[in-house]
Amino acid sequence: MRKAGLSIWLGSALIVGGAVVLAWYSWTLYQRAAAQRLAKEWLNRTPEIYRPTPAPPVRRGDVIGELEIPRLQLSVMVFEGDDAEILGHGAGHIPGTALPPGGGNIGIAAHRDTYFRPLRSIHANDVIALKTPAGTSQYAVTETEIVRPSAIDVLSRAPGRDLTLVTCYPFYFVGNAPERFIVHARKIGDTIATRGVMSTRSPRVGP
Amino acid sequence: MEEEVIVAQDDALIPSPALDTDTENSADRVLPHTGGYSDLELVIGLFMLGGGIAALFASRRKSLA
Repeated sequence: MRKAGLSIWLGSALIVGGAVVLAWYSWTLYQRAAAQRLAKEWLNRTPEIYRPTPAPPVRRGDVIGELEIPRLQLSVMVFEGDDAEILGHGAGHIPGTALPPGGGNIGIAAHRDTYFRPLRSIHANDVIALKTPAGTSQYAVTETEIVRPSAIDVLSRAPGRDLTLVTCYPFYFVGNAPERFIVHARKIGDTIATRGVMSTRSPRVGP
Repeated sequence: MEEEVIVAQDDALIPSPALDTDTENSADRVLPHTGGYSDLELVIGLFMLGGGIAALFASRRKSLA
């Protein structure tokens, strides 16, 4: 009798615990989808924009643009910042790296278990499109590499290195992945907006 | 998410943002942690739920036997 009571108590506790974990999982999925939808709506309704001079500083959580890799059917909105909260909503522009559409090396990171998981199938010459309020830039993948988390030099400027994608490696790993998967790409063209009168401050994620 | 609108009077082309700094000087930095645990959360939640239902079924079977 006592054993049956223990089983009922344990079973109930597991069901409640499981429901809480699944509710949290669903909530994070919902939040992520909502942030992506809002950011995409904002980007699509401001197709041609001039920013005031000087351009307002980019704040953590601002929408930077939309990253697409058509062959991998990868599409994700990019926000400013690379902390856990930002990466919970989408891809993050790594602070300190170049901002699109300017020159330099643009660094973008995202989780290996969500948006950047398709990167495991990326290869040289795949086309990456980065759409921002200023226009769309196209990049071609030049190389991929696997590095230690301390290899910050992958984000430094170098000829032919215009966009760098960062995610954790191995793609399937329980716990903190020990390495980073890096995709380097060079710019092959862009379409920059030429007319416009209004700059819309982007929606933001996070506090 | 919040949203504000700024009306711009300027017709100049968008300048390249000046945030591009030399990352080689950022020796204390590391590449962002992009692990994510959404798969793990889903698996743990399903296991707990499944285990709980199994435990309740087992206790019910025992009490009926």
